[in-house]
Amino acid sequence: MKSPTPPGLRLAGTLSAAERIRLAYVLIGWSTLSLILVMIDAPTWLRLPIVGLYSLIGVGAAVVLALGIPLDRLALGLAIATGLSSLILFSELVMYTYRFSALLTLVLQVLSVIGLAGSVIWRALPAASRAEQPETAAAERLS
Amino acid sequence: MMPASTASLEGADSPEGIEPPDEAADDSGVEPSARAARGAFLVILAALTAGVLSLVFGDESAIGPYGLISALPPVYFAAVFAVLATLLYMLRWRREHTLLLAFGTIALVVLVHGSAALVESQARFATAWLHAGFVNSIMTLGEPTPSFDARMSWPGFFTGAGALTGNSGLGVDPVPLLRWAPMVLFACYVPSLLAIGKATLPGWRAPWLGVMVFIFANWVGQDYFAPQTVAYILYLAMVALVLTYLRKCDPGKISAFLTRRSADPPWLFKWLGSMIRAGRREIEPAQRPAGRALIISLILLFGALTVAMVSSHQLTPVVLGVLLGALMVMGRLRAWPLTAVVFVVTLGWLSYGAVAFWTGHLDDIFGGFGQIGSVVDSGVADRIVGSPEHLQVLSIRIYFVMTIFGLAALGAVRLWWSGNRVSVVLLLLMGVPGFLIATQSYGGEGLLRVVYFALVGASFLIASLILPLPRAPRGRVLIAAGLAFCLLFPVFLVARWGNEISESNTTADLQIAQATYDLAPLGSTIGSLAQGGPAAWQDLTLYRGVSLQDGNPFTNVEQVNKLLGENPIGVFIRIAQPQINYLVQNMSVPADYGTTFTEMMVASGQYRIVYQNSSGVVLQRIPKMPAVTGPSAGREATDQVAP
Repeated sequence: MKSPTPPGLRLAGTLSAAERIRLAYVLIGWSTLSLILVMIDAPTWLRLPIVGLYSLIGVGAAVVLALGIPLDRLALGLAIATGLSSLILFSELVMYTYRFSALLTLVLQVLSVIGLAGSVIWRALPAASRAEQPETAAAERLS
Repeated sequence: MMPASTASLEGADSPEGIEPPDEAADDSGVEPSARAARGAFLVILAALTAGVLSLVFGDESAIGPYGLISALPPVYFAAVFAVLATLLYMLRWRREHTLLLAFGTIALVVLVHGSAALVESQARFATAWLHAGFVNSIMTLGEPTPSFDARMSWPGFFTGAGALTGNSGLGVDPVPLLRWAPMVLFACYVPSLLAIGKATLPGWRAPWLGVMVFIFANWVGQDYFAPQTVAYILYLAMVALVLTYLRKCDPGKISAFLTRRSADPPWLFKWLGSMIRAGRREIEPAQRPAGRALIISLILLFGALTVAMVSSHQLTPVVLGVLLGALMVMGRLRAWPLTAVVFVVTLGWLSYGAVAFWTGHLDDIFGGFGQIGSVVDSGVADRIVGSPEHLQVLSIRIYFVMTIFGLAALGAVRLWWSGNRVSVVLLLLMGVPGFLIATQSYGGEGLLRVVYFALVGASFLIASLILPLPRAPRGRVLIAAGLAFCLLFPVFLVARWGNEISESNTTADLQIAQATYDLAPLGSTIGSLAQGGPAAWQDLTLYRGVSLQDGNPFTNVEQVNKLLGENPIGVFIRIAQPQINYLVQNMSVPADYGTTFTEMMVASGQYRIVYQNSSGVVLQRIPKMPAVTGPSAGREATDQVAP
């Protein structure tokens, strides 16, 4: 007989759809807060942990969640790597107008939020309505 | 979406019976009660608190010729051993307690790799300060300056750090990030390392143990505010991604050819064939199933990570590409074109992004090809110089490396003896970086990079030496492992932090550098007696920096002048204690060399002391004409000494 799942394993890919959606809301809230803090030019002691940490891992976490990668240690590693990569790639794109890099990183945050929100909406759709689509297409082909 | 438990071994009824289908629980080990879990948490928390406090109140000035170890209090060692013992104890549990294991592992990272940051008053390592200077330069000028330094041809890390610095409200000054970067970046390795362990070793215990081994084995010191550190994080994530989702267990074309070659092959081919068949015998953890949409997304993500890595560091993408090629040959990479993608992007960046580097310097890139002897010489033989204590530190490093890889080899042998098993992927992870010895022209650091990359595979093979099977280990096995960790830990500390006397920085060292910037007008020449101490973190390209290191020991002032050259704006020399310590360590100069050098320069009548504190002095060449007014003329440092 299997033992009940200990709390520590809840992160290991076993989050339910509802929990994933709640996590997405947390990320959206975190990103929104980051945007506000940058816009009001909040002091460094506040921006470093919230905006800095979002830049490092929040963007990557949003991407990982939006892609639907199971949440486990690989997802965490990918979230960190993706966050770092997005910083690198976006700052590379604006290398010659560097003063706008903060703005463009915020654009990245907005994009990640849009992706995340899209993912949330997609996952919030009833599974049945999504499952109907290929069947409908197949039925049309058959007809 | 598949649950993570599908990542366990395929086939519970495999001949070896290695792993039950549920990786989270097995029939071996003790059932962890809530009380035991609470106790483990409290022990780790108490040890972490005690260890951190002991370091914060530690004596920075006690750092000696053997490095940081002489400044570490006994409480610190007790704290590290308490966390380690608790983690090993948790491996006896029937189920994986992810959060508690993660907490203990991060506590180990803080105690082991954050120790220098906690003891020392300023960020360590001169190269990290130089990298801060690159970031500052890009943010100030608005673009990288590849003509100033070759590293600027791979500016991804520096621009990314600039974006982070800007967004965090630090302006153009990334220095506040330097101090904690080693610890934070090392912690970023952990999830991907675990994912690699899960994809290569059966069960949950050996992967966690492998991460613990990695924490205690990674002495190379490449984990700081540097491009290679971030590239390493990307490397680990990409390897974990490939091994988790894009692996296959059928033999590749070349490996299949090798096994078909003969019905009764020579022993080498037989061994290769057995490794290839290992996948088909279902004794490696299975890859995780995924739908087509997820696989496409992951490959696109892999591409993005590749581009970020390629634009950040010159060496890591090559190691990744060769590793992917080796995985392809050994039948462990399904999406084999990824190998080509990595090499094409790397060559693409080299051809366009790094033009300033290779124009006229092709020999720097390809000159080392096949020169194994010179690489080994520059990596080992040329480095075995210096004071007797430094020579002992170097010897300890060599023996430590031999021990690590010797234990890893024993791990591979033990896997083979316990059911003809062999982890092809781990052998490749450990062995493939060795190609750098034959192909790179990276100077003396090349061998360090080989060890750095090879430690991933070696750590997990050592874990499989202790835990070759996924079932819970016996108590005496864990006690023996714990004792081995305790015995090797001081050795690790000397290997990891053995240069700390010249690589750590005090507030007085920082004041010397700050005074130099305050006193030297923009455009001045700033000479450094040797490497060491904070420097170059601001206005990097606006001064002319000159290293006097190779000219030491100087016997007259003209030797110094020849290296510094003329500069009508001003000529300054920065002398700080870490530089003297470096020269004592590596060039066996007397301990009072800084004083005698300063006296020689002042006695010549050509130089004067314009700043002095407990760490060292700033010398200024006395101008023949009226001196140009500096950007901070009239501003005097707090404890400035008039000539």
